[in-house]
Order: sequence, then structure tokens, then C-alpha cells
Amino acid sequence: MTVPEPTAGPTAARPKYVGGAVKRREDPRLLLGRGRYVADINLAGTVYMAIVRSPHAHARITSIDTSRAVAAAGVLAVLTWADIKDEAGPLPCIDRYTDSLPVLQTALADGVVRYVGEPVVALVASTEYGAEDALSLIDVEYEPLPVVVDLDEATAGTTLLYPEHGTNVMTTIAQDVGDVAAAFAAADRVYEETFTIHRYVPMPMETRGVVAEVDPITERLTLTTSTQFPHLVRGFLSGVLGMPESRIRVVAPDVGGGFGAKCEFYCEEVLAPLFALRLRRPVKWIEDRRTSMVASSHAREQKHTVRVAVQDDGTITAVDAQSWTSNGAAYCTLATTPASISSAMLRGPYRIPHYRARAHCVVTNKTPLAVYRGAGHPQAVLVMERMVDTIAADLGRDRVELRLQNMLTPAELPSDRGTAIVLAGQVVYDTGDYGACLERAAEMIGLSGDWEAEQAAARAEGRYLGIGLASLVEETSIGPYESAVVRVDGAGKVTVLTGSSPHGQGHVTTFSQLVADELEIDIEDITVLYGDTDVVADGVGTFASRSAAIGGAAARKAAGVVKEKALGVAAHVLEIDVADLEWRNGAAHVRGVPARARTLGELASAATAWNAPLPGGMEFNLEATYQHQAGGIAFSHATHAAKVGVDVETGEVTVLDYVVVHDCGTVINPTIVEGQVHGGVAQGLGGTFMEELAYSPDGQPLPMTLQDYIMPTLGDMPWIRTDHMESPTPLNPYGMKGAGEGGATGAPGALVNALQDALAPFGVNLTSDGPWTPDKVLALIPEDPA
Amino acid sequence: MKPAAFEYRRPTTIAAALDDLALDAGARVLAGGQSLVPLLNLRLATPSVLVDINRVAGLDEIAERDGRVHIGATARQAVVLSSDLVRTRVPLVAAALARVAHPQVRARGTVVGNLCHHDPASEMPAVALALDAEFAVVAPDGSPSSVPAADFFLDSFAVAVPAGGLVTGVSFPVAPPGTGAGFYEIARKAKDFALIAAAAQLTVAAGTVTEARVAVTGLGHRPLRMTAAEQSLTGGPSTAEAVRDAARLARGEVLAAVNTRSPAAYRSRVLPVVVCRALTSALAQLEPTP
Ligand SMILES: Cc1cc2nc3c(=O)[nH]c(=O)nc-3n(C[C@H](O)[C@H](O)[C@H](O)COP(=O)(O)OP(=O)(O)OC[C@H]3O[C@@H](n4cnc5c(N)ncnc54)[C@H](O)[C@@H]3O)c2cc1C
Repeated sequence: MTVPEPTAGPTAARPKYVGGAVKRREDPRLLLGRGRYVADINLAGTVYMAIVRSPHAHARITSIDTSRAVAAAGVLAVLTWADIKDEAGPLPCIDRYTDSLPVLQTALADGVVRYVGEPVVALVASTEYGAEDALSLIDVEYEPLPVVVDLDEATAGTTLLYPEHGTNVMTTIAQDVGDVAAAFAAADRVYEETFTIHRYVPMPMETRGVVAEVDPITERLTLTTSTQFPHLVRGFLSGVLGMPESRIRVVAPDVGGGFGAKCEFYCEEVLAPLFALRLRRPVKWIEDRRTSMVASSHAREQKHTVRVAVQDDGTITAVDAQSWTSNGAAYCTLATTPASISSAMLRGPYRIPHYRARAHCVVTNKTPLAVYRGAGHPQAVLVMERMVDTIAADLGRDRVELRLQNMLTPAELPSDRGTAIVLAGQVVYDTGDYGACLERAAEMIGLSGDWEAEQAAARAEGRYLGIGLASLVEETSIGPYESAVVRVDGAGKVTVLTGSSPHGQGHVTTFSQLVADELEIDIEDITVLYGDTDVVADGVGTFASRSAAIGGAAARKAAGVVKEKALGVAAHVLEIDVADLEWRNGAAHVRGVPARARTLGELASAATAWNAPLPGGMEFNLEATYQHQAGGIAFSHATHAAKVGVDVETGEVTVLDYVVVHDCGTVINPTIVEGQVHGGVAQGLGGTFMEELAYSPDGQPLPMTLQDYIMPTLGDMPWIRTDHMESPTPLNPYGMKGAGEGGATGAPGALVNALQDALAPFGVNLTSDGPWTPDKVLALIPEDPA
Repeated sequence: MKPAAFEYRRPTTIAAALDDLALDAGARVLAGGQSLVPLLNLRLATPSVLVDINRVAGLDEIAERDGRVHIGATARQAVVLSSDLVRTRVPLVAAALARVAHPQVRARGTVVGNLCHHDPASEMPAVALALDAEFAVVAPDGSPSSVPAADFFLDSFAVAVPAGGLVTGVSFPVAPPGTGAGFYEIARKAKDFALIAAAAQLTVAAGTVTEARVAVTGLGHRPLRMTAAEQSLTGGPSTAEAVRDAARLARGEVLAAVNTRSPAAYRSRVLPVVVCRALTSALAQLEPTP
């Protein structure tokens, strides 16, 4: 598909942008290096913040002596918890359950440190280098405490992070559907397995960073921060500092990726403002990659035990599941969401009428764990899809057929699944054809009758091939709402303000497509603004695959209101009843008299204050604000299919082919959706084969830089083939669902199943998501495979 | 990523570079900076003086003299890799260099700096050892010497360059006619450092191996020459079977501490495999193309 060429002439039907592979409007600037990220912002008089972080995983702070730093030339201020405890409240956690124990972070450690990297003392110096030098002048003494990094040990609770609570299990989430006990009693077979999912991290290319500045005249604070949700940051900061929101402006400039790591409110976003308020100078802090390893949120780590009840005919009747999430040292902004999603979504596309889950959020001496592209979905998909393959193998059933037998059919939708996701709400699958999606993916990857023969023939030559499938349903487009403003200037140029601040997703392009189609104007006439709470008064943010569907709908709805206003103005200008007008090709036309028309620009101009007055009661200016509220969660779905080859002499795995068939409702822009899928698959592939944020038993994080935290590059990626299906959702006025996370959600399950398939002759049973590095793969293969 | 303070010098002659290096015991040579600058940023290295040799005239040569290809201390990896001289006269250097880092890094990093850095997971030290490279070392007093590769790599991140001295270049013997070169590496991702890698070069005359050179990186604190494998091949037939038999003789002490991300048991197990594959691709180059 190409960019629609708007045809000339007032009567010609105008091609739609929505659905077209419109090139990303933001890319020329970003690709030419003209992005402006926090690190690029240099205000006159800027001073630099640095932070002393705990070298211990768990210790009591016995003394802090800042005197040498305070006396050092160039050091302007030093803050400890004692200095700020009356000004700065605990950092919020917005997804706490009512019975969650309160284990919140503070901007600086309050007496005890609970993970390596926890901020202890903050300082500001006149240069970046001076600030770094001064760190060694802060003397902190610690009395080490016993460390707990292992999930089982933490759950057992012999070492407690918060002795006052008597447990390390801070929340247990329950999901109960049907009669699990009866289903197991009636089951022909029961399968039981334990899965471990390792810790890996979002690692956006741009690390975090802040600049805080106080206007000496107005006393207003501006916090520029690399975040996914500037409006929420404004609210959080207001709450933590007890400062009215009206005095706070939060700016998210270009943001170089977030993936969940910037869907968090961090201590630096409190500390820099505190210094700026004291020093009346701009305070800047840019996170180093090494710091980012411990100071930005971690993700994924869970353990699952599942019991699955199955009838001899292959019907899966019940799942009884428990999970433990290694939440790290405290609850961060989004702490229970991964556990909540994993437990609510474990059954994926499968009917499974009886279901019970208990999801435990457990504190450990590690960096706090938060959401990361897919949140709890990838873990759930891995567990469920491995189990389905295990059952198929045991029953001697074809894995596609067994999946189809248990999948919800379109006729069964909508389907209330009886579970709920924190913040998002009830899980009611809306639309989709899960079976058709699976069959298409199986066909594309080559899982036809010949596959087993091909696999056997390759094995005879010493090549071990495997195909893996993972079918998934994922929560997207969560609310509660998003806001948008559409404004037309007197020249007919349109400004769109969105509260959903992007960080690489291409909002400028997709939102322009939606508004251009609504107003039937050229995409080039649209400017999209975002990321500044003084420019866009209200907003929620970009996370949970919500922006295009919820924010996009708000923008298009606002454009619709503008169009109605324009028709009203046209009726006045043309002295005709509004019912006799129609909107076509960016102009109001008199029905049946195509030549009598007024363009959007003419109408906008007519509605300005300096032109002829409008009739009483009519609003000036073509402008509208629209708040679109999500009517419920929209569920996207997909099947991933991976083909791998395993070198049984070295343990190296090559991904030979990769297919994603997915359905995110109405597709606004297939190129952007594909980009989202590709990026997500890369992250899932990284997590499956390379990435691990491992800790030593004494709580020291092992990787320090990207030289030892291994991430995939272009050279490691397979060619990904995608196919789109479109099942519009009735929950959205334009049928749109989310597409941002499915790639990361499906990849681990598909890749591990493929590896399992390849290594099946060796009798392996893979019960972890890796990372399947060559040594771990080779350890599964007997020394002489012949 | 803020280095500690240092004094920066940019001499234009070797004599001036030696003077600058003599300023302080903590002085250090800066070449392409691709290994040193990250160390500075992490404050794992805090030299008092940095002596930038990039402007020293004449150090960027890539030239053949007296049966050897000489690569100067400021010759960039990218330039060396794309040099026809290197590709045709010392093919093993090109084969291995193609696996070192990404184009962005190679545009700046030098072959000599890479060898002086001597990361135990680095590819090129195995090549230098296998080919009996010679390092042109200048002592602090200006006296030159030639150090063979076998004596150059002392330990992880330690080479035989006296404090205050520097390396002006490295030379490799031109491959004799009838030579094939092969390099096989297992890495954690494309273009990454090696978990283990083997460099092999075979010279064959009339179906008989006249010279076999094999070295492996990633086992211990220095690259290791696979002498038993070399001996078993030399004088024998240049066949796939001979290569397989020789690879089984690959031996070497595997130290766990050298690479905690790659268990010693793994490296021991794949050692004969990587040797076999490097030798096999060397052999493949000798076969007349169909
Ligand atoms: C992303 C990335 C990936 C990489 N991947 C690999 C890889 O796969 N394999 C690999 O082997 N390397 C890899 N490297 C390292 C790279 O090859 C470096 O360029 C090389 O190790 C150092 O060369 P340089 O010229 O940059 O030296 P510098 O960084 O300037 O110096 C390195 C060290 O050598 C010393 N030194 C330099 N020149 C001399 C001299 N003439 N005399 C005496 N001492 C000297 C310096 O003092 C310093 O101690 C990678 C680097 C990066 C950043």
C-alpha cells in the first residue's frame, strides 16, 4: 500500500489515510539526529546532580557523613533522607490492592537499603564531572543484613525485608472461576509443572534523565523528564511534594523508548526538583547506562506452578495456578500489574471453564520490578503454551488441532472470563477469530503434513530443526480515558493536542491519519503536539497498548466535533439550514450545489474574533476538546510461529523463520503495526536467548554494561513475516485495538516451544524461558548425539 | 559516564609521545579509544595523563616488507579489514577481523590497540599467536625491539610493553602459496566478543600439509596454540578426516574465571568443535572452486 494521493476536485471521493502504509512523519527529523532528548537540553546556569547509591543488597545505614563533600569546591548542595523527610512523601504505587502491605519507595533511603543501587545521598555540583568526583567524598557506613534474592527463600520468609510486616509476600491476587475442585476430581488426566521466568529489563536506548527548573518570578517548577506519562508525573510530584499541580509543569521531550521503564515515577524526579527549589538553578541528571542497570525498573521474573485437568479427548477443563513475582525491594508505581495480568490472562485463547489462580507479589533484595512491554502476558503465554504442547505430545495429538479444540470460537464471543486485571478491569474478550489466526500462522510457517518428514530428514543429517507456536490474547487499550484537543487556525491548518505522550510509537503519523480522514484534509496540514502539561492540559499517557485506540479515538472524536462546528459556521455564512450541508473533502458543501462550498480554512477564519460576529450562543473558533473513555478492555490476539535450528555440537540456536499473524482490530497503519511487532519480537528473542539481569547470591547485580547484558542487534534477528487480521472491537468507535506489546508477548512462548520441538529427541522438557544461551542448550544434549 | 580528570597530550612524533608518557607513572596511550574510553567512563581506569597517538605521523601504514605485512599502531580496524593487501596476503587477519565489533567501532578502533588491550575474549590475539606475529615495541628510552606474539600476551589485559613504552606496529608473515585460512567463533550475539574462537591456517603442497597453524582464544588468560593438532596435521594428507582427527587433539587448560558467562565445561566441550570448524573452513579455501 502507498500513501493515498488526495484526488483533485471538490466532488471526487477522497482516499482514506487510515489503513494506509503512510510513512512516519516524525522519522526524517529523528533519523537526521534532530531529536531533542533530555540530555540535549542545556539551560543557562545548569548544575548537575549525582547520587550515592547503595553498594549493598541489604544493610542498615549506621552513619552518613557528608562533610567532606559539602566542603569540596564546586559542590553546591547535599541531601540525605533526614534533610528531605518532612518535604517528600513516599513515592506512589497506583496498582496496590486494598489488602496490599504498604512497602513504598522513598526518594532517598530511610535507614535501611534493600537493593544495590538504592539512592542514599544526593548532591549537586557545578559540573557533571565535579558531581561524579564528589560521590567519593560522601562517607556512608553500613551494617550488612542478611540478603534474600531467591524467590522461594523470600516466600519462605526466613529473612524479611520489612520485619514489621512479618512476611515478604506483600499481595496475593486471587482469580476464581467455576469449580476447580470438581473439575480436577472429574479429570482423566492431570498435568503438573513448574516454570521459572528470569529477570530481564526494558533497556530503552535513551536512558532516563531529568532537568528541573524553578522560575524565579512565577515560582513555577518545570520538570523535563524522559517519561511515558508526563501528566501522571505532574500529579505524582504534586502529591509527593505537597505542591499544587498549578505550580508544576512537566515536559516529556523526545523520548528514546520506554517499554515500561519510563511508565514509572522515580526518585530523581523528586530529588532534582528539591534541589532546584533550594538552589534556584536548573538541575540536570542523566542516567548512565551502568546506573540504569540498577536504577531503572526491572521486569519479568516469576515462578509459576500449574496443574491442568484434561479429558482423554483433549478437552482442557481446568487450570489451578500459583505464581510468585520477584517484585524487588519495594512497590514501585506499577508493582502488582505483572502478577495481576499473568493470573488474569493465563488461559489465553482457551476456553478452560474452571480456573483458579493465586498470584503472590514477593519482595526481594533486587531493583523494584515493574511493567515491561506485555507486562505479565509473556510469562502467562509461555506457561500455557508449553503446557498445551506437553499435553498434545502426551496425548499423541496434533498441537494445532488440540489448540483449535480448546479455543474460544468467534460465536462464543464476547466471553466474560471471570477474571480481572488491576486498574484495567474485568476480562471480557470482545472480538477475534483465534482459530483462524492459528491456522494461518501454522500454514505460513510450514507446519503442514510434510513438516515431520522434513524434520526427520534434517535430523538424519545432524540438523535439529523445530517449530514452535504460541497463541495469545492480550489486554490492550486500557482506559480510563484519553483527552485530545483539535484546533483549526484561520488558515485552515490543524493542531492536534494529545495527552498520550509518545516515545517512538509514531503518534504524529497515526493521529494525523485519523484526524485527516475525519476532516478530509491533507495530512501535511496537521501538527500534533504532546508531552508538555502546559500545552496539553490533560492526559494519561502511553502504555498498555492504549495510545492509538484510546488517544486516537479522542483525537478523531474531537475532529468530529470541530467538523460539526464548521458546518454550523457554514450554515451561518451561507445562510442555509445546516441540514442542507454536507462535509466533503475538507469543506462544507451545499447538497446538490457542489460549487457552493466553504473550506475548513474559510470557516475557521469566519469563526475568529476579528471577523463578522457569529449568531448569539455560537462558539467562536473551530476548536474542540474531547475525552474518550474506554468502554472496557479491548483484547488483541495473535499467533506466533518460530522455526529454529539447533547446532547440537555447539548449542547455538538460529531462528530460521518467524511468523506473526495478529489482530489488533482496525489497522490505522500497517507499517507502524509491523514495526511494533518487529520490535516486540526482538525483545522477546533477546529475553529468550541472551538477556538476563542476573544477581549473585549476595544480591550483587552481575551485568554492569551492555557488554555483559547482551541484547540482540540487527545481525541476530530473523526476517519476520507478518499477516494482519482485522476484527474491529465494538468497544472503540473506530474498531481499533492495541498493537504495541503482542510481539514481546508471543515470542518467548513460540521460541521456547520451537527449541523444545528441536530437542525433543533428547527427551528434554523445557520449563524456563531461558535465556537459552549456547552453554545451557548444549547441556541438554548428550555428549555424543549419534 | 564521567571520567576522572586527566591531562591530555597529543604528540606528533614517537619521541614526543615517549616524553609525554614519561610525565607520570599513570600515563597511558590512547589510540582509537574503543576500549580505553569505556574504561575511563566507568572509572575502571583513571590514568593521570592520556597520550593520544592519533597524530603521530606515519603510524597508520599497512604495507608489505620482507615477507611480512606491517600494520601500524593507528591503522583502523575498518581500513585494515578492507585492505586488499591484508585480504590477499594475510587472509586469516581479515577473516578474524570481520568478527571483531561493529562497523562503527571498527571505524575508530585500531588493530594494535585491540591487541594491546588484550581482552581474553578478543579474537585477534589468537590470530597473532597462530601466525607468529611480531610486535614493534619502543622502550621509554626510545630503543626498539621486536617481541614475538608468544611472548607478548602475558595475562588478561596485560602485554609485554614496558611502562612508558608503546607499540608502533605489528607484522604478520605473508601466507605462502597454497594457504587457506579459517576462523570459527561462538559469540553471544552477532559481532560480539568470543565465548571461544579458533584461528587456523593450513598450507598444502601436492595434497600434503606443509604447515598448520592453530590457536584458540577464550580458554584462559592468554590465547593458546594447539600444538598437538598442528603436529598431527603437518606432513599428513589435507583431508577432512585428518582435520577431524587433529581437532580431537585440541587441548588446553580452560579457566572458569576468564569468562563467567560461559562455563568452563562448555568451552572444554566445544573446543574440538571450533578447532575442527576453523580448520575445515581453511581446508575449504584450498579446494579448487567448482
Ligand atoms: C561495542 C563494542 C564492541 C566490541 N566488540 C569487540 C569484539 O567483538 N572483539 C574484540 O576483540 N574487541 C571488541 N571491541 C573492542 C575494540 O576492538 C577496540 O577497538 C580495541 O579493543 C581497542 O583498540 P583502540 O584503538 O580503540 O584502543 P584504545 O581503546 O585506545 O586502547 C586500548 C588499550 O590499549 C592501549 N594501547 C592502544 N594503543 C597502544 C599502543 N600503540 N601502544 C601501547 N598501548 C596501546 C591503551 O593504552 C589501552 O590500554 C568492541 C568495542 C566496542 C565498543
